[in-house]
Amino acid sequence: MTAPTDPEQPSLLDADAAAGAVERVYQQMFAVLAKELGGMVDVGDLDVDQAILDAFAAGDPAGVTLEQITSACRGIEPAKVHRRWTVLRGYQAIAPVIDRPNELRHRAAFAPYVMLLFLRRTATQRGQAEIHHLLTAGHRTLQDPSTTEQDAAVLIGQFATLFRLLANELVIMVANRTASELREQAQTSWGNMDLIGQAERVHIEALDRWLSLARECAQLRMALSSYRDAVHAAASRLVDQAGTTRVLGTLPPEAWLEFTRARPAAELAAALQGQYFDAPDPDMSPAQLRSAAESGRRTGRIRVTPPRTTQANEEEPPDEASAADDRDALAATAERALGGRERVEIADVIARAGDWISARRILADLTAAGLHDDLDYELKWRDTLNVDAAGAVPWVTDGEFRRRPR
Amino acid sequence: MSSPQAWWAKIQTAGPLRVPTGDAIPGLATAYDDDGAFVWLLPDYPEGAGHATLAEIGSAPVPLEHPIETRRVMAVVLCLCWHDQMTGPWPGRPVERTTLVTAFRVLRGHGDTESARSIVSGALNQLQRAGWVLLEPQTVRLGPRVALWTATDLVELREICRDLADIRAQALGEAAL
Repeated sequence: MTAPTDPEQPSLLDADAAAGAVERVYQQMFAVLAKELGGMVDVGDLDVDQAILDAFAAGDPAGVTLEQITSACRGIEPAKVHRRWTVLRGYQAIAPVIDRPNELRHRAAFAPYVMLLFLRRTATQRGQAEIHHLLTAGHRTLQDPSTTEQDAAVLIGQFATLFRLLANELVIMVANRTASELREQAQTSWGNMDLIGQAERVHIEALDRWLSLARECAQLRMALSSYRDAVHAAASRLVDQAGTTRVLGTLPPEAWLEFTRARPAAELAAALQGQYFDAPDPDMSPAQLRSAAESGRRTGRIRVTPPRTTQANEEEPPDEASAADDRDALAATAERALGGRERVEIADVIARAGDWISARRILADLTAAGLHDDLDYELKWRDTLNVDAAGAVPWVTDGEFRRRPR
Repeated sequence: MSSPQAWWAKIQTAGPLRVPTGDAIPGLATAYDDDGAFVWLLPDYPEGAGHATLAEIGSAPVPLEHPIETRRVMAVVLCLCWHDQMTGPWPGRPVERTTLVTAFRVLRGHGDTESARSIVSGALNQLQRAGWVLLEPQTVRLGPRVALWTATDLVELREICRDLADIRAQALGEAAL
Protein backbone atom coordinates (compact mmCIF):
# COMPACT_ATOMS: atom_id res chain seq x y z
CA MET A 1 0.00 0.00 0.00
CA THR A 2 2.88 2.34 0.53
CA ALA A 3 5.38 3.66 -1.90
CA PRO A 4 8.05 1.17 -2.81
CA THR A 5 11.40 2.00 -1.29
CA ASP A 6 14.71 1.81 -3.04
CA PRO A 7 16.71 -1.24 -2.04
CA GLU A 8 19.86 0.82 -1.68
CA GLN A 9 20.10 4.53 -1.12
CA PRO A 10 22.75 6.00 -3.43
CA SER A 11 24.73 9.03 -2.29
CA LEU A 12 22.94 12.35 -2.42
CA LEU A 13 24.60 13.70 -5.55
CA ASP A 14 24.12 10.47 -7.45
CA ALA A 15 20.50 10.39 -6.41
CA ASP A 16 20.07 13.96 -7.54
CA ALA A 17 21.65 13.29 -10.90
CA ALA A 18 19.68 10.08 -11.34
CA ALA A 19 16.41 11.82 -10.49
CA GLY A 20 17.27 14.53 -12.94
CA ALA A 21 17.96 12.02 -15.70
CA VAL A 22 14.78 10.12 -14.99
CA GLU A 23 12.77 13.29 -14.95
CA ARG A 24 14.19 14.26 -18.34
CA VAL A 25 13.08 10.97 -19.81
CA TYR A 26 9.63 11.42 -18.23
CA GLN A 27 9.35 14.87 -19.67
CA GLN A 28 10.29 13.63 -23.07
CA MET A 29 7.78 10.81 -22.88
CA PHE A 30 5.07 13.07 -21.60
CA ALA A 31 5.65 15.41 -24.44
CA VAL A 32 3.68 12.92 -26.46
CA LEU A 33 1.01 12.47 -23.83
CA ALA A 34 0.54 15.93 -22.37
CA LYS A 35 -2.27 18.02 -23.71
CA GLU A 36 -0.44 21.28 -23.18
CA LEU A 37 2.85 22.58 -22.00
CA GLY A 38 3.55 22.77 -18.31
CA GLY A 39 2.38 20.65 -15.41
CA MET A 40 4.75 17.75 -15.06
CA VAL A 41 4.64 14.96 -12.56
CA ASP A 42 7.66 14.41 -10.39
CA VAL A 43 8.93 11.17 -8.93
CA GLY A 44 7.12 11.72 -5.61
CA ASP A 45 3.76 12.15 -7.36
CA LEU A 46 4.23 8.78 -9.00
CA ASP A 47 4.41 7.11 -5.61
CA VAL A 48 1.12 8.74 -4.64
CA ASP A 49 -0.43 7.71 -7.94
CA GLN A 50 0.68 4.17 -7.41
CA ALA A 51 -0.76 4.13 -3.91
CA ILE A 52 -4.07 5.46 -5.23
CA LEU A 53 -4.24 2.90 -8.02
CA ASP A 54 -3.25 0.12 -5.62
CA ALA A 55 -6.09 1.21 -3.37
CA PHE A 56 -8.50 1.04 -6.29
CA ALA A 57 -7.30 -2.48 -7.12
CA ALA A 58 -7.70 -3.66 -3.56
CA GLY A 59 -10.99 -1.87 -2.98
CA ASP A 60 -14.57 -2.63 -3.80
CA PRO A 61 -15.01 -3.57 -7.49
CA ALA A 62 -18.21 -1.53 -7.56
CA GLY A 63 -16.34 1.70 -6.94
CA VAL A 64 -14.30 3.47 -4.30
CA THR A 65 -14.80 6.87 -2.69
CA LEU A 66 -12.13 9.45 -2.03
CA GLU A 67 -12.44 8.88 1.71
CA GLN A 68 -11.71 5.19 1.31
CA ILE A 69 -8.68 6.00 -0.82
CA THR A 70 -7.39 8.50 1.72
CA SER A 71 -7.70 6.01 4.51
CA ALA A 72 -6.07 3.29 2.41
CA CYS A 73 -3.12 5.59 1.72
CA ARG A 74 -2.39 6.08 5.35
CA GLY A 75 1.31 6.70 4.92
CA ILE A 76 0.76 9.69 2.68
CA GLU A 77 -0.46 13.17 3.55
CA PRO A 78 -4.18 13.48 2.69
CA ALA A 79 -3.51 16.80 0.94
CA LYS A 80 -1.15 15.12 -1.50
CA VAL A 81 -3.62 12.33 -2.16
CA HIS A 82 -6.31 14.91 -2.83
CA ARG A 83 -4.11 16.79 -5.22
CA ARG A 84 -3.19 13.73 -7.26
CA TRP A 85 -6.80 12.59 -7.18
CA THR A 86 -7.86 15.86 -8.78
CA VAL A 87 -5.18 15.56 -11.44
CA LEU A 88 -6.02 11.93 -12.22
CA ARG A 89 -9.70 12.73 -12.43
CA GLY A 90 -8.92 15.75 -14.61
CA TYR A 91 -7.24 13.42 -17.09
CA GLN A 92 -10.06 10.86 -16.87
CA ALA A 93 -7.75 8.31 -15.27
CA ILE A 94 -10.33 8.14 -12.52
CA ALA A 95 -13.97 8.59 -13.38
CA PRO A 96 -17.24 8.48 -11.45
CA VAL A 97 -18.93 5.09 -11.63
CA ILE A 98 -22.11 6.75 -12.85
CA ASP A 99 -21.89 10.05 -14.63
CA ARG A 100 -24.02 12.26 -12.41
CA PRO A 101 -23.38 15.18 -10.04
CA ASN A 102 -22.16 14.38 -6.53
CA GLU A 103 -21.33 10.78 -7.40
CA LEU A 104 -18.90 9.63 -4.73
CA ARG A 105 -17.88 6.22 -5.98
CA HIS A 106 -15.21 6.16 -8.63
CA ARG A 107 -13.50 3.62 -10.81
CA ALA A 108 -9.95 3.71 -12.14
CA ALA A 109 -8.77 2.98 -15.67
CA PHE A 110 -6.04 0.45 -16.24
CA ALA A 111 -4.07 2.53 -18.76
CA PRO A 112 -2.51 4.91 -16.22
CA TYR A 113 -1.24 1.89 -14.33
CA VAL A 114 0.40 0.48 -17.44
CA MET A 115 2.01 3.86 -18.00
CA LEU A 116 3.11 3.87 -14.39
CA LEU A 117 4.76 0.48 -14.75
CA PHE A 118 6.49 1.71 -17.87
CA LEU A 119 7.75 4.79 -16.04
CA ARG A 120 8.95 2.66 -13.16
CA ARG A 121 10.91 0.47 -15.52
CA THR A 122 12.39 3.51 -17.22
CA ALA A 123 13.36 4.85 -13.82
CA THR A 124 15.37 1.77 -13.00
CA GLN A 125 16.82 1.07 -16.43
CA ARG A 126 16.78 4.48 -18.14
CA GLY A 127 15.36 5.27 -21.53
CA GLN A 128 17.86 3.27 -23.44
CA ALA A 129 16.76 0.00 -21.89
CA GLU A 130 13.38 0.63 -23.50
CA ILE A 131 15.06 0.58 -26.89
CA HIS A 132 16.46 -2.84 -26.02
CA HIS A 133 12.96 -3.98 -25.16
CA LEU A 134 11.64 -2.55 -28.39
CA LEU A 135 14.36 -4.20 -30.43
CA THR A 136 13.77 -7.54 -28.74
CA ALA A 137 10.06 -7.24 -29.33
CA GLY A 138 10.75 -6.22 -32.92
CA HIS A 139 12.97 -9.24 -33.42
CA ARG A 140 10.22 -11.53 -32.21
CA THR A 141 7.66 -9.83 -34.40
CA LEU A 142 9.83 -10.39 -37.43
CA GLN A 143 10.26 -14.05 -36.57
CA ASP A 144 6.56 -14.50 -36.04
CA PRO A 145 5.12 -16.29 -39.12
CA SER A 146 1.93 -14.23 -38.96
CA THR A 147 3.81 -10.96 -39.50
CA THR A 148 3.21 -9.47 -42.92
CA GLU A 149 5.66 -7.59 -45.07
CA GLN A 150 3.67 -4.42 -44.38
CA ASP A 151 4.15 -4.78 -40.62
CA ALA A 152 7.87 -5.39 -41.08
CA ALA A 153 8.26 -2.29 -43.24
CA VAL A 154 6.52 -0.17 -40.59
CA LEU A 155 8.69 -1.68 -37.87
CA ILE A 156 11.93 -1.08 -39.75
CA GLY A 157 10.83 2.48 -40.47
CA GLN A 158 10.17 3.05 -36.77
CA PHE A 159 13.61 1.82 -35.84
CA ALA A 160 15.23 3.99 -38.49
CA THR A 161 13.41 7.05 -37.09
CA LEU A 162 14.41 6.09 -33.57
CA PHE A 163 18.09 5.86 -34.36
CA ARG A 164 17.98 9.00 -36.46
CA LEU A 165 16.58 10.93 -33.51
CA LEU A 166 19.16 9.45 -31.17
CA ALA A 167 21.99 10.28 -33.55
CA ASN A 168 20.79 13.82 -34.25
CA GLU A 169 20.39 14.62 -30.59
CA LEU A 170 23.87 13.35 -29.94
CA VAL A 171 25.46 15.21 -32.85
CA ILE A 172 23.93 18.48 -31.71
CA MET A 173 25.03 17.81 -28.16
CA VAL A 174 28.60 17.11 -29.24
CA ALA A 175 28.70 20.33 -31.21
CA ASN A 176 27.01 22.69 -28.78
CA ARG A 177 27.10 21.42 -25.26
CA THR A 178 29.80 21.43 -22.65
CA ALA A 179 31.69 18.24 -22.01
CA SER A 180 30.18 17.88 -18.56
CA GLU A 181 26.68 17.89 -19.98
CA LEU A 182 27.83 15.33 -22.50
CA ARG A 183 29.15 13.13 -19.74
CA GLU A 184 25.88 13.47 -17.83
CA GLN A 185 23.93 12.32 -20.85
CA ALA A 186 26.33 9.54 -21.67
CA GLN A 187 24.23 6.81 -20.13
CA THR A 188 20.89 7.91 -21.48
CA SER A 189 21.79 8.63 -25.05
CA TRP A 190 25.00 6.97 -26.06
CA GLY A 191 25.87 4.54 -23.32
CA ASN A 192 26.34 1.27 -25.14
CA MET A 193 27.11 -0.05 -28.54
CA ASP A 194 25.04 -3.20 -27.99
CA LEU A 195 22.04 -1.33 -29.34
CA ILE A 196 23.64 -1.09 -32.73
CA GLY A 197 24.48 -4.79 -32.80
CA GLN A 198 20.97 -5.68 -31.75
CA ALA A 199 19.47 -3.40 -34.37
CA GLU A 200 21.71 -4.90 -37.02
CA ARG A 201 20.44 -8.37 -36.13
CA VAL A 202 16.87 -7.11 -36.52
CA HIS A 203 17.83 -5.63 -39.83
CA ILE A 204 19.39 -8.85 -41.11
CA GLU A 205 16.37 -10.80 -39.96
CA ALA A 206 14.08 -8.55 -41.94
CA LEU A 207 16.27 -8.54 -45.01
CA ASP A 208 16.58 -12.32 -45.02
CA ARG A 209 12.88 -12.76 -44.92
CA TRP A 210 11.71 -9.96 -47.24
CA LEU A 211 14.26 -8.99 -49.85
CA SER A 212 11.81 -6.39 -51.13
CA LEU A 213 12.36 -4.35 -47.97
CA ALA A 214 15.86 -3.41 -49.16
CA ARG A 215 14.98 0.29 -49.32
CA GLU A 216 13.65 0.47 -45.75
CA CYS A 217 16.60 -1.60 -44.57
CA ALA A 218 19.03 0.77 -46.25
CA GLN A 219 17.38 3.64 -44.35
CA LEU A 220 17.88 1.75 -41.11
CA ARG A 221 21.51 0.98 -41.98
CA MET A 222 22.18 4.66 -42.64
CA ALA A 223 20.52 5.67 -39.39
CA LEU A 224 22.59 3.11 -37.52
CA SER A 225 25.86 4.24 -39.00
CA SER A 226 25.09 7.89 -38.31
CA TYR A 227 24.37 6.93 -34.72
CA ARG A 228 27.67 5.06 -34.56
CA ASP A 229 29.51 8.10 -35.92
CA ALA A 230 27.83 10.35 -33.39
CA VAL A 231 28.86 8.04 -30.56
CA HIS A 232 32.45 8.10 -31.77
CA ALA A 233 32.40 11.88 -32.02
CA ALA A 234 31.02 12.19 -28.51
CA ALA A 235 33.63 9.82 -27.12
CA SER A 236 36.50 11.59 -28.79
CA ARG A 237 35.21 14.93 -27.56
CA LEU A 238 35.31 13.64 -24.00
CA VAL A 239 38.79 12.22 -24.48
CA ASP A 240 40.00 15.55 -25.85
CA GLN A 241 38.45 17.38 -22.97
CA ALA A 242 40.19 15.18 -20.42
CA GLY A 243 43.44 16.46 -21.89
CA THR A 244 46.83 14.91 -21.65
CA THR A 245 47.16 15.30 -17.91
CA ARG A 246 44.07 13.26 -17.08
CA VAL A 247 43.86 14.92 -13.71
CA LEU A 248 40.90 13.03 -12.40
CA GLY A 249 41.14 14.20 -8.81
CA THR A 250 40.25 17.82 -9.55
CA LEU A 251 37.11 19.10 -11.15
CA PRO A 252 37.57 20.33 -14.71
CA PRO A 253 37.20 24.09 -15.23
CA GLU A 254 33.98 23.43 -17.08
CA ALA A 255 32.47 21.97 -13.94
CA TRP A 256 33.13 25.22 -12.08
CA LEU A 257 31.73 27.30 -14.91
CA GLU A 258 28.75 25.00 -15.08
CA PHE A 259 28.15 25.43 -11.37
CA THR A 260 28.18 29.20 -11.58
CA ARG A 261 25.86 29.14 -14.56
CA ALA A 262 23.33 26.70 -13.21
CA ARG A 263 23.00 27.77 -9.58
CA PRO A 264 20.57 30.40 -8.29
CA ALA A 265 21.93 33.65 -6.92
CA ALA A 266 21.25 32.71 -3.31
CA GLU A 267 23.37 29.59 -3.54
CA LEU A 268 26.23 31.46 -5.18
CA ALA A 269 26.02 34.20 -2.61
CA ALA A 270 26.16 31.64 0.20
CA ALA A 271 29.68 30.69 -0.87
CA LEU A 272 30.77 34.27 -0.23
CA GLN A 273 29.16 34.53 3.21
CA GLY A 274 31.55 36.28 5.57
CA GLN A 275 33.86 37.53 2.83
CA TYR A 276 34.51 41.20 2.20
CA PHE A 277 36.04 42.73 -0.86
CA ASP A 278 37.80 45.92 -1.55
CA ALA A 279 35.84 48.40 -3.55
CA PRO A 280 36.67 47.98 -7.22
CA ASP A 281 39.40 50.57 -7.15
CA PRO A 282 42.13 50.59 -9.74
CA ASP A 283 45.65 50.00 -8.56
CA MET A 284 48.60 52.35 -8.99
CA SER A 285 51.71 50.27 -8.76
CA PRO A 286 54.97 52.21 -8.85
CA ALA A 287 56.28 50.14 -11.74
CA GLN A 288 53.23 51.01 -13.85
CA LEU A 289 53.49 54.69 -12.91
CA ARG A 290 57.10 54.73 -13.88
CA SER A 291 56.70 53.05 -17.23
CA ALA A 292 53.77 55.35 -18.05
CA ALA A 293 55.76 58.45 -17.12
CA GLU A 294 58.78 57.35 -19.10
CA SER A 295 56.80 56.38 -22.17
CA GLY A 296 54.96 59.72 -21.95
CA ARG A 297 58.22 61.54 -22.35
CA ARG A 298 59.31 59.38 -25.22
CA THR A 299 56.18 59.68 -27.30
CA GLY A 300 56.62 62.05 -30.20
CA ARG A 301 60.31 62.61 -29.73
CA ILE A 302 62.11 59.45 -30.65
CA ARG A 303 60.91 57.49 -33.60
CA VAL A 304 60.73 53.90 -32.63
CA THR A 305 62.02 51.54 -35.30
CA PRO A 306 59.22 49.30 -36.48
CA PRO A 307 59.50 45.71 -35.39
CA ARG A 308 61.31 43.50 -37.82
CA THR A 309 60.84 39.88 -38.50
CA THR A 310 63.43 37.73 -36.83
CA GLN A 311 64.01 35.88 -40.04
CA ALA A 312 66.14 37.41 -42.76
CA ASN A 313 68.10 39.36 -40.19
CA GLU A 314 71.24 38.49 -42.06
CA GLU A 315 69.98 40.14 -45.19
CA GLU A 316 69.28 43.43 -43.48
CA PRO A 317 72.60 45.24 -44.22
CA PRO A 318 71.82 45.92 -47.92
CA ASP A 319 69.73 48.88 -46.78
CA GLU A 320 72.71 50.78 -45.46
CA ALA A 321 75.07 49.48 -48.10
CA SER A 322 72.83 50.76 -50.86
CA ALA A 323 72.67 54.17 -49.20
CA ALA A 324 76.47 54.25 -49.11
CA ASP A 325 76.74 53.12 -52.72
CA ASP A 326 74.19 55.74 -53.65
CA ARG A 327 76.30 58.46 -52.13
CA ASP A 328 79.42 57.42 -54.00
CA ALA A 329 77.54 57.17 -57.29
CA LEU A 330 76.03 60.63 -56.77
CA ALA A 331 79.42 62.12 -55.94
CA ALA A 332 80.87 60.55 -59.09
CA THR A 333 78.05 61.95 -61.25
CA ALA A 334 78.42 65.36 -59.67
CA GLU A 335 82.17 65.39 -60.23
CA ARG A 336 81.69 64.31 -63.81
CA ALA A 337 79.20 67.12 -64.38
CA LEU A 338 81.47 69.68 -62.72
CA GLY A 339 84.55 68.40 -64.51
CA GLY A 340 86.87 69.93 -61.91
CA ARG A 341 85.19 73.36 -62.01
CA GLU A 342 83.57 75.10 -59.06
CA ARG A 343 80.23 75.54 -60.77
CA VAL A 344 78.49 74.51 -63.96
CA GLU A 345 75.45 75.88 -65.78
CA ILE A 346 72.50 73.49 -65.98
CA ALA A 347 71.95 74.51 -69.62
CA ASP A 348 75.50 73.28 -70.42
CA VAL A 349 74.96 70.00 -68.63
CA ILE A 350 71.78 69.38 -70.58
CA ALA A 351 73.36 70.43 -73.84
CA ARG A 352 76.20 68.01 -73.22
CA ALA A 353 73.81 65.16 -72.48
CA GLY A 354 72.38 65.54 -75.97
CA ASP A 355 68.81 64.39 -75.52
CA TRP A 356 66.19 64.81 -72.80
CA ILE A 357 66.10 61.13 -71.86
CA SER A 358 69.68 61.13 -70.60
CA ALA A 359 69.55 64.78 -69.53
CA ARG A 360 66.73 64.14 -67.12
CA ARG A 361 68.63 61.22 -65.59
CA ILE A 362 71.63 63.47 -64.96
CA LEU A 363 69.34 66.18 -63.65
CA ALA A 364 67.78 63.74 -61.20
CA ASP A 365 71.20 62.66 -59.97
CA LEU A 366 72.35 66.25 -59.55
CA THR A 367 69.19 67.11 -57.61
CA ALA A 368 69.75 64.10 -55.34
CA ALA A 369 73.41 65.06 -54.87
CA GLY A 370 72.39 68.61 -53.99
CA LEU A 371 69.91 67.36 -51.38
CA HIS A 372 72.23 64.73 -49.93
CA ASP A 373 73.32 65.61 -46.40
CA ASP A 374 76.79 64.14 -46.74
CA LEU A 375 77.69 65.72 -50.09
CA ASP A 376 78.80 69.29 -50.46
CA TYR A 377 76.97 70.24 -53.65
CA GLU A 378 73.98 72.42 -54.28
CA LEU A 379 71.65 73.08 -57.14
CA LYS A 380 70.50 76.68 -57.54
CA TRP A 381 67.72 77.71 -59.90
CA ARG A 382 67.25 81.18 -61.27
CA ASP A 383 64.05 82.77 -62.48
CA THR A 384 65.00 83.03 -66.16
CA LEU A 385 64.20 80.60 -68.95
CA ASN A 386 66.09 79.70 -72.15
CA VAL A 387 63.97 78.73 -75.11
CA ASP A 388 65.46 77.04 -78.16
CA ALA A 389 62.80 75.63 -80.44
CA ALA A 390 65.38 73.76 -82.53
CA GLY A 391 67.35 72.22 -79.66
CA ALA A 392 67.00 68.71 -78.29
CA VAL A 393 65.56 70.22 -75.12
CA PRO A 394 63.36 73.12 -76.25
CA TRP A 395 63.40 75.10 -72.99
CA VAL A 396 65.72 75.08 -70.04
CA THR A 397 65.41 76.96 -66.77
CA ASP A 398 68.56 78.78 -65.94
CA GLY A 399 70.41 77.46 -62.95
CA GLU A 400 73.73 76.24 -61.78
CA PHE A 401 75.19 73.23 -60.00
CA ARG A 402 78.06 74.10 -57.71
CA ARG A 403 80.15 73.02 -54.79
CA ARG A 404 78.71 74.14 -51.53
CA PRO A 405 81.11 76.37 -49.63
CA ARG A 406 82.14 74.54 -46.44
CA MET B 1 28.78 50.00 13.50
CA SER B 2 31.28 50.04 16.33
CA SER B 3 33.12 46.76 16.08
CA PRO B 4 36.50 46.83 14.32
CA GLN B 5 35.28 44.10 11.94
CA ALA B 6 32.33 46.18 10.84
CA TRP B 7 34.56 49.19 10.22
CA TRP B 8 37.00 47.05 8.35
CA ALA B 9 34.24 45.66 6.16
CA LYS B 10 32.93 49.14 5.52
CA ILE B 11 36.20 50.56 4.29
CA GLN B 12 36.97 47.43 2.30
CA THR B 13 33.80 47.97 0.35
CA ALA B 14 33.47 51.76 0.38
CA GLY B 15 37.12 52.82 0.12
CA PRO B 16 39.04 55.23 2.38
CA LEU B 17 36.90 56.87 5.05
CA ARG B 18 37.60 60.12 6.91
CA VAL B 19 36.61 60.19 10.58
CA PRO B 20 37.46 62.43 13.56
CA THR B 21 40.61 61.19 15.25
CA GLY B 22 38.75 60.31 18.41
CA ASP B 23 36.69 57.70 16.54
CA ALA B 24 39.70 55.88 15.13
CA ILE B 25 39.64 52.14 15.47
CA PRO B 26 42.83 50.44 16.50
CA GLY B 27 44.15 47.79 14.16
CA LEU B 28 43.26 49.51 10.90
CA ALA B 29 45.65 51.16 8.48
CA THR B 30 45.30 54.92 8.95
CA ALA B 31 46.57 58.23 7.61
CA TYR B 32 46.29 61.37 9.75
CA ASP B 33 44.96 64.49 8.14
CA ASP B 34 44.64 68.19 9.05
CA ASP B 35 47.32 68.10 11.73
CA GLY B 36 45.82 65.07 13.34
CA ALA B 37 42.26 66.35 13.70
CA PHE B 38 40.95 63.73 11.30
CA VAL B 39 42.11 60.30 10.32
CA TRP B 40 41.57 58.31 7.16
CA LEU B 41 40.78 54.65 7.62
CA LEU B 42 42.32 52.77 4.73
CA PRO B 43 41.50 49.44 3.12
CA ASP B 44 44.57 47.32 3.55
CA TYR B 45 45.42 43.85 2.33
CA PRO B 46 47.27 41.11 4.08
CA GLU B 47 50.76 40.51 2.80
CA GLY B 48 50.66 38.69 -0.53
CA ALA B 49 47.15 39.77 -1.47
CA GLY B 50 45.93 42.62 -3.60
CA HIS B 51 46.23 43.76 -7.15
CA ALA B 52 49.69 42.31 -7.68
CA THR B 53 48.33 38.86 -6.93
CA LEU B 54 45.51 39.38 -9.37
CA ALA B 55 47.97 40.40 -12.05
CA GLU B 56 50.05 37.32 -11.27
CA ILE B 57 47.20 34.88 -11.80
CA GLY B 58 46.23 36.65 -14.99
CA SER B 59 42.86 37.86 -13.77
CA ALA B 60 42.46 41.36 -15.09
CA PRO B 61 42.53 43.93 -12.28
CA VAL B 62 39.94 46.65 -12.18
CA PRO B 63 40.21 48.48 -15.48
CA LEU B 64 41.06 52.15 -15.75
CA GLU B 65 39.82 54.32 -18.54
CA HIS B 66 42.79 55.53 -20.56
CA PRO B 67 45.11 53.68 -18.21
CA ILE B 68 48.40 55.03 -19.52
CA GLU B 69 47.39 58.70 -19.50
CA THR B 70 45.80 58.30 -16.09
CA ARG B 71 49.00 56.83 -14.68
CA ARG B 72 51.00 59.66 -16.25
CA VAL B 73 48.75 62.17 -14.52
CA MET B 74 49.22 60.28 -11.27
CA ALA B 75 52.99 60.35 -11.73
CA VAL B 76 52.88 64.10 -12.37
CA VAL B 77 50.69 64.69 -9.30
CA LEU B 78 53.13 62.63 -7.27
CA CYS B 79 56.20 64.55 -8.39
CA LEU B 80 54.53 67.90 -7.80
CA CYS B 81 52.95 67.13 -4.43
CA TRP B 82 55.61 65.02 -2.77
CA HIS B 83 57.84 67.81 -1.53
CA ASP B 84 59.81 66.05 1.20
CA GLN B 85 61.20 62.89 -0.20
CA MET B 86 62.87 61.86 3.02
CA THR B 87 59.39 61.01 4.33
CA GLY B 88 56.44 59.30 2.72
CA PRO B 89 54.29 61.04 0.08
CA TRP B 90 51.33 61.49 2.46
CA PRO B 91 50.04 64.11 3.15
CA GLY B 92 52.10 66.11 0.63
CA ARG B 93 51.44 69.63 -0.57
CA PRO B 94 48.49 70.78 -2.64
CA VAL B 95 49.23 71.94 -6.16
CA GLU B 96 47.29 74.27 -8.44
CA ARG B 97 45.35 72.57 -11.18
CA THR B 98 46.85 74.87 -13.79
CA THR B 99 50.35 73.92 -12.67
CA LEU B 100 49.40 70.30 -13.01
CA VAL B 101 48.13 70.82 -16.54
CA THR B 102 51.32 72.67 -17.44
CA ALA B 103 53.48 69.88 -16.04
CA PHE B 104 51.49 67.30 -17.93
CA ARG B 105 51.91 69.27 -21.14
CA VAL B 106 55.65 69.46 -20.58
CA LEU B 107 55.78 65.71 -20.03
CA ARG B 108 53.84 65.08 -23.22
CA GLY B 109 56.04 67.43 -25.25
CA HIS B 110 53.95 70.63 -25.24
CA GLY B 111 50.77 69.39 -26.80
CA ASP B 112 47.45 71.14 -27.09
CA THR B 113 46.44 72.81 -23.79
CA GLU B 114 42.76 72.11 -24.22
CA SER B 115 43.20 68.37 -24.72
CA ALA B 116 45.77 68.21 -21.92
CA ARG B 117 43.26 69.85 -19.60
CA SER B 118 40.51 67.40 -20.50
CA ILE B 119 42.81 64.40 -20.12
CA VAL B 120 44.00 65.66 -16.75
CA SER B 121 40.53 66.34 -15.40
CA GLY B 122 39.23 62.97 -16.59
CA ALA B 123 42.16 61.21 -14.98
CA LEU B 124 41.79 63.18 -11.74
CA ASN B 125 38.14 62.19 -11.44
CA GLN B 126 39.04 58.53 -11.77
CA LEU B 127 41.89 58.85 -9.32
CA GLN B 128 39.70 60.67 -6.84
CA ARG B 129 37.08 57.94 -6.87
CA ALA B 130 39.74 55.46 -5.84
CA GLY B 131 41.21 57.76 -3.19
CA TRP B 132 44.50 58.28 -4.98
CA VAL B 133 44.07 62.05 -5.10
CA LEU B 134 41.92 64.60 -3.29
CA LEU B 135 40.36 67.33 -5.35
CA GLU B 136 39.59 70.81 -4.13
CA PRO B 137 38.11 73.51 -6.36
CA GLN B 138 41.43 74.97 -7.45
CA THR B 139 44.00 72.55 -6.12
CA VAL B 140 44.86 68.89 -6.13
CA ARG B 141 46.72 66.86 -3.55
CA LEU B 142 47.65 63.25 -3.02
CA GLY B 143 44.90 61.05 -1.63
CA PRO B 144 45.08 59.00 1.55
CA ARG B 145 45.59 55.78 -0.34
CA VAL B 146 49.18 56.77 -1.11
CA ALA B 147 49.91 56.10 2.55
CA LEU B 148 49.57 52.40 1.72
CA TRP B 149 52.64 52.40 -0.52
CA THR B 150 55.31 50.32 1.12
CA ALA B 151 58.94 51.25 1.69
CA THR B 152 59.95 49.20 -1.36
CA ASP B 153 57.39 51.05 -3.46
CA LEU B 154 58.77 54.37 -2.27
CA VAL B 155 62.22 53.55 -3.64
CA GLU B 156 60.79 53.28 -7.13
CA LEU B 157 58.53 56.30 -6.61
CA ARG B 158 61.53 58.43 -5.66
CA GLU B 159 63.07 57.26 -8.90
CA ILE B 160 60.01 58.58 -10.78
CA CYS B 161 60.31 61.91 -9.02
CA ARG B 162 63.99 62.09 -9.97
CA ASP B 163 63.09 61.32 -13.58
CA LEU B 164 60.46 64.04 -13.62
CA ALA B 165 62.49 66.62 -11.67
CA ASP B 166 62.98 68.81 -14.74
CA ILE B 167 59.26 68.80 -15.43
CA ARG B 168 58.55 69.77 -11.86
CA ALA B 169 61.03 72.64 -12.02
CA GLN B 170 59.69 73.82 -15.36
CA ALA B 171 56.04 73.64 -14.34
CA LEU B 172 56.56 75.37 -11.00
CA GLY B 173 58.76 77.97 -12.70
CA GLU B 174 56.16 78.69 -15.39
CA ALA B 175 53.44 78.89 -12.79
CA ALA B 176 55.48 81.42 -10.80
CA LEU B 177 55.88 83.71 -13.83
